[in-house]
Amino acid sequence: MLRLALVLLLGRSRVLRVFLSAALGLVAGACIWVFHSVRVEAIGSNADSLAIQTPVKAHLRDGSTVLYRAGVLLARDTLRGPGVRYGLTLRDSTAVSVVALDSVVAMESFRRTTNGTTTAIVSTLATGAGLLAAAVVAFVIACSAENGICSNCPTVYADSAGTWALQAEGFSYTLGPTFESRDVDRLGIRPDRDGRIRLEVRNEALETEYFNRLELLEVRHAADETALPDPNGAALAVRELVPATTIADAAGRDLRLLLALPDAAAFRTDARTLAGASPVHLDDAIYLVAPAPAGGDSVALVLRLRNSLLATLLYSEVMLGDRGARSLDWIGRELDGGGVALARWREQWMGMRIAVWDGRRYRETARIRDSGPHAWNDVAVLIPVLQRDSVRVRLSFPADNWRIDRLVFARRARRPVVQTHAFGRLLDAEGRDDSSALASVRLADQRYLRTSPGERFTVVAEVGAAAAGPARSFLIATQGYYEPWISHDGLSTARDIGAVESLDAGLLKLRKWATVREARERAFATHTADLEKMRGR
Amino acid sequence: MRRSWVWGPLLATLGCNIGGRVDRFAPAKGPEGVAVALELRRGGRAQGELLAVQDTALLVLARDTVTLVSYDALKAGRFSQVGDLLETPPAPDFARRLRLVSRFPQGLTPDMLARLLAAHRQAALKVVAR
Repeated sequence: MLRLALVLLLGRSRVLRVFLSAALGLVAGACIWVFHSVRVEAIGSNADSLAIQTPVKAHLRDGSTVLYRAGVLLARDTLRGPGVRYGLTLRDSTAVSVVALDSVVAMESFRRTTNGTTTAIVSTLATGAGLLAAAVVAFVIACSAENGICSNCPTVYADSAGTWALQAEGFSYTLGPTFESRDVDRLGIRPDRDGRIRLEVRNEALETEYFNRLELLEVRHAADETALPDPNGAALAVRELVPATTIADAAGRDLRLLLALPDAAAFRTDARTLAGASPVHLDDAIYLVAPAPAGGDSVALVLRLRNSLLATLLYSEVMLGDRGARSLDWIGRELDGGGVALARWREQWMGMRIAVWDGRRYRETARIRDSGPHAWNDVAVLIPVLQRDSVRVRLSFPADNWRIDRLVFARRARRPVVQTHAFGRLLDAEGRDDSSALASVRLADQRYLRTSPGERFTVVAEVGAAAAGPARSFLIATQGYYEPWISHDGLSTARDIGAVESLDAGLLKLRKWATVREARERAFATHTADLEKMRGR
Repeated sequence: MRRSWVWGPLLATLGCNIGGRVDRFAPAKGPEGVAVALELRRGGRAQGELLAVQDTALLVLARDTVTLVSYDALKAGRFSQVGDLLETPPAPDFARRLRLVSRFPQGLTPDMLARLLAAHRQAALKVVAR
């Protein structure tokens, strides 16, 4: 213990300093944990005069409701204050300032209260647990602060010859329940000898992840076909893969060799394009040309890609970081409003837009959503053949938002039959069956499986052993969302700003990104390797 | 990362306050009753808004239909930000809490119910019994 203390006091490494800071914070914070709840109380009609400074609802004889968000003054025979009166059906509303008390049949107030017993018990217990938690938190903070963030979504691993191999990232950048989405990713695995598929799902980010549904999809196809999801999550079976005859980016670089094979040698935006990016000219682009197939009205574009850390920077730091600890309030408000600004920004700027030349202009035909910086994502996009001799495609995206490992055309593509397998077992981190958690992820309903940073679970599906006949490929569908924890070091400069201002600032951050991307990505790669080592895998 | 030291004090601050806030409590923000998810004994689920709490049933607006759900028909119930239905009928204290977060804590008079049904183009109140 003494040695540990000395190491902590004398050590100069960043992790140790963070540990000490976290320990002090947690132990101090653990001393007084105050538990609150919202108390709803009926307001009696015998009050003479009363000023209430919390929200109040008054219910009138005719069935209408008056809501006083900022409270109300009960002055003898009237209610006074700015309120909104809603009709019985809530389809109409009007502002009111004075309401006669004799028209009111019920009233209630909403206020925050403190649960004294819970506060006392938990505060005592938490103090003892603080130091242990500090070690965990220090690791998570170090992970987050050093690399921006570990990722922004759950990661899916499969057993590959005794080691866990990363397969996919689910519902990336789904910031809050408004943005809950379903992602479909290709798995590079086969069933084991018993006909089972086991996948480990990890929360490796600084966030709470909510899983609504997990499904395993099986595609049976010919041996010369490859089964891939399209941007909407539907399966495509593609064959006759051919490289484009021309591939060039906005800087004019010939990318044919770089993008011909899935070899982890990936496209990244040219430094000149990145340096020239500005809020009014944000995009990079890749232009492809391939011969039109004889007798076919479509081809497929086959991509292997993942996000750079720029997307993480924009989603995490720009939207949340400048607000520091107030980011959670901002999320609540923004998402209460339907997340309109966030959705508009994401729709307008992020992801990848795919457009086809029709002889006069490029027509946008598809979009690929941001999929995360961890796992390579294999996806196929149907491209209509609009010209007789050739297919010309433009991919446009925020400069440096993507790393693209492979980009080829498939001359043949079809919609295969897809069989859905429900996962039959869900095991917690200790290998125990958890039927309740399993039930939470079997249907897209109101039940969610929630995981915290560092947690993981395993899902098992019985798919039957391999048999002679068509080839089998498997996809995983993940549906859910996440709520980020505070993951930024600019807490001391936290300020509450409007969504639009923040998003514009985000575009300007491209310039900053250009100067730090090498270091960020190197640190991210190192950190990912460290995570694996720490787990002894 | 030069400002990692701020995490300690920050965590201390975060550790201080836990639990509900009025500005995030849906019934305090709008005229609607609390959101409810019900699981029925005969199978099936219903989600909607809690309109009123009666001695033998809940009145909910689900799928734009005013529905009276008998406690006998209920297998489980979850009331957003309030809690779960642990027994049917609910214990008096829980029933009182539910009533206060319903749209009509005062109950519905026949006239109000008729107007509500008319607004939702219902000729009659849908009833889910056992």
